[in-house]
Parts: sequence; structure tokens; C-alpha cells
Amino acid sequence: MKYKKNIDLIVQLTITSFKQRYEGSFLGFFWYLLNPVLTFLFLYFIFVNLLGSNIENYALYLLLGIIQWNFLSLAAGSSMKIIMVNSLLIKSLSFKRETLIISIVLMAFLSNIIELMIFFVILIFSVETSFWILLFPMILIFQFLFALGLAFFLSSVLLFFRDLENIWNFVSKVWWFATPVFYSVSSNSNFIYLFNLFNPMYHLIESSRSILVYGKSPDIYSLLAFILMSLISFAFGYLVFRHLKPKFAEMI
Amino acid sequence: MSITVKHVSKKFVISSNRKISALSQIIGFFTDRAPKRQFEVLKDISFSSNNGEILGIIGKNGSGKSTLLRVIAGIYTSDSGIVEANGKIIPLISLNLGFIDRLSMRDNIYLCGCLFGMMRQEIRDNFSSIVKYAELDDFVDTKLYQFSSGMKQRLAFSIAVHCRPDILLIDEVFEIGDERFREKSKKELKKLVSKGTIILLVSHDLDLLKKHCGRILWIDQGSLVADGKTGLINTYKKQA
Repeated sequence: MKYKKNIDLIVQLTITSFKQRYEGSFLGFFWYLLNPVLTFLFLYFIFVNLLGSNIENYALYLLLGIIQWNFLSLAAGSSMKIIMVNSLLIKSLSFKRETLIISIVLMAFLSNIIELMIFFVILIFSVETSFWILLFPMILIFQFLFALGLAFFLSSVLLFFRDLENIWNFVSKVWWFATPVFYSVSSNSNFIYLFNLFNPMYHLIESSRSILVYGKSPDIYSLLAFILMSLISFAFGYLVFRHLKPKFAEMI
Repeated sequence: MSITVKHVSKKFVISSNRKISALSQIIGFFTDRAPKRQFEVLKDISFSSNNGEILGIIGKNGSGKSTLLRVIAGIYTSDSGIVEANGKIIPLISLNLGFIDRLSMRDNIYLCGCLFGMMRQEIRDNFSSIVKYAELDDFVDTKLYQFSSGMKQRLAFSIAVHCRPDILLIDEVFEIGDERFREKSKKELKKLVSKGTIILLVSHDLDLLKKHCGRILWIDQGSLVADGKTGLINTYKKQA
């Protein structure tokens, strides 16, 4: 019964954040698609002659990278301040605090799914898909867990350490450039490659590209690394959140 | 329905004015050993109540009344002592809770209802009754930023009442709407009490408390000074 109530609350909060995000804007729902498409066009025209020339199927390669990165950036960015923004709620009601975070990440996840569906339409018309595509839902689940863990961590620690927002803004920018979204890293041992061995977003994006764009099996170590990192992110993020949760109402 | 509060104490950590370096702050954060000044907001509070009564809580500003309600509601955790509640607790600590101005009243009713712990189905079943009670039938799909503050308060009160609270915590939010609606809400609270609901009412409006409460809890500097009949209010007035 209690369980079901929380699910209902998560559903309602997710609907609310969806509606809130695009309510009143003229193009409304289309911003979901417009944002990644515009980023894509921008990067495509800049890099197709510079960096992407030697990458097979560069357009799909780039688009998928942008979509996957967008998810993380939207989930982390919008969940980070969610406890702070809802201070009045936290101070006057005792609902499960986790529901706020889960619903925001769910909102980002659903936006991601919508973008991916468009991607699939393009994909089917431009390359041959293979049965490896069946592995993709599993990647999505771990992608969700990864972002959720990060969101739990950022949203709770921010209340105690306000500098985190500035740190995160910087870190996420560096992270975006270090992740091969619009370029590729080859496995010679340069600095970027070594960094990316520890970069969950690299493993996520590379595995997704293998499966979808190139229709081949993902690098098994890369896939396992991502799964492991997602589980660590989720477990660590949630533990931190749970530890700090009782003090939320006193900190805002 | 019953509520028992046993030896509840609560301290707040107040950040000291002393300049501390960022490094020692970070170390302090991770080791829980930052220099802190503590302030006891609640000191060993105990009381209990069974079926159907209104308990008025009086005390000066900063004496810990709101903190007590928040501890009972589970918003703050107490440092020691326990709160045993048998029934559904609904806190009405602020009447502007969770409303999102850019969404319609319909969306807001669903959101707030869920935040209060209702199921979506329950809200669907009670929807027209909530709207009707708040006397806002004509505005179901109006965005909330066009509501007056009185209308929002009526809506919040109506949602809270429809949650069927067993224990209702009210903090200074008795200025709901106009005189007529205020009377209506008082009647509603009486009806709830007659059905067994326990109401904890924090207010500085002593006449209101005298008129409606069966029992008064007097809190001063975090301690429960007295627990008794409404006659306490006179003693309190004399002291103030």
C-alpha cells in the first residue's frame, strides 16, 4: 500500500516536471527534439570536414553520442537543485524525499527515449540493423541507474556544500570535451584514451554505437565496465543520499 | 487513533561565526567533527492524546512549537525520544505547499494529493468533492497564478481535509479565506474531531484556542511547562 502510494507520487511528480518544463513555451514539446537536432547540426557542419572525415557513418555516430550525453546532462542538471527548489515542500511535508529525485531522472529518461525513437527511425532507413539491437534495452536500464546515482549524490551533497554547483558546471564541461562525442579515440595509449578507460560515459556511448550504428557486438570489457560503474554510481549515490536525507529539512 | 510523544528532544546545530578554513570545513564535513554550537529546541517533551480532541499549543516565538509539529510529522528527526502515532498524520504547516503556479488547478490537486499521501485513484474519486468544498468549481482548468491567495488557501485546506487525517497538525494557518470560509473550516475541523481525529493547533490567537481547544500545551524554551485545561491561557496571558 505504502509502496503503491510512492509509485503514484513518482508518476505524478514526473508528469508535473514534464508539463512544467514545456508549459507556456510556443514550440512546447518540439523543444525535446529541437535541442539535440540543433546541437547535431552545429557540430556536424563544424566537424564533418575536420574530425569526422575518417569515421564511418559520422552523422549517426555523432547524433547518438549527443543524445546519450544529453540524457546525463539533463538528468544531472535538473536534479541537482531539486531539493533546494522545493525547500518549502521539504519543510512542510514528510513524503519520501527519494521520489523527487527519481521523478526528475525519469523525466530526463523519457525525454531520452523520445529522442532515441527519432534516432531509430533514421537508423532503420540508413543502415542495416542486427540482432545486437536487442541488447540496447539493457544498456538503457544501466544508463538510468548511473544517472540516478549521480543525481542522488549531487542533489543531497549540494545542500551541505554549495560550491558543488560551480564545481559541477566546470567538471561537466571538461567531461563533455573529454568524452568522444564528436570525435573518436583509438586505442593507442594517449592521454585521452587512458582517461576514457575510467569514463562511464565513454563506455556507454561506445557500446551503444557498436550495437546500433555498426550492428556488431559491443566490446565486452567496455560493456562490463559500464555496468559495474553504473552499479557503483547507484549504490554510492544512494548511500550518500540516505545518510544526508534526515538533515534536509534543517539545511534549507 | 492516538498519538504518544515520549521524551522527545531536538538540537539544532548553529554554524559558529568563527572563521574556519575551507580545508578544515571539508575535513569536518567528512569526519562529522566540525566546530559546532548546539541549540536545544526541544527538551524532553512528553504527552499523549487519544481519540478526538483539539490540543492548542501556546508559547512565545522561537519556543519550539513549529519544531515540535515537524518532529511529530517526521519532517525533522528527533535526537532522542520517540513519537508513536496510530493513524495517518497530515501536516498543514504551510498553506502554499507544493502548488505550481504555471499549472492548472486540476494538475495541482493531483500533485498535492499525492504529496499528502493519497493514491491517484483516491484523488480521482474525490476530485469533484475537493473542488466543490474549496468553492472553486469554475476554475478547474485555470492556471494557479491567476488565483488569489485566499483561493489557494481554500484549495490547500480542502485537499488536506479530503485526505481523511487521523492526526492533523496545523501551524498558524487559520487565516483561510474570508470570514465565511473560516467558519466553514472550523465546522469541518469539529466534524473531524467528532469522528476521532486528533488536532494539534499552534496559534497565537488565544481567543480562538480558548474557544475551540479542549486542552492546552504550553511550551517555553523547548520545555513543556504545562499541560491542562484552557484555563492555562489566562495564566499565560498574565505572564506575557
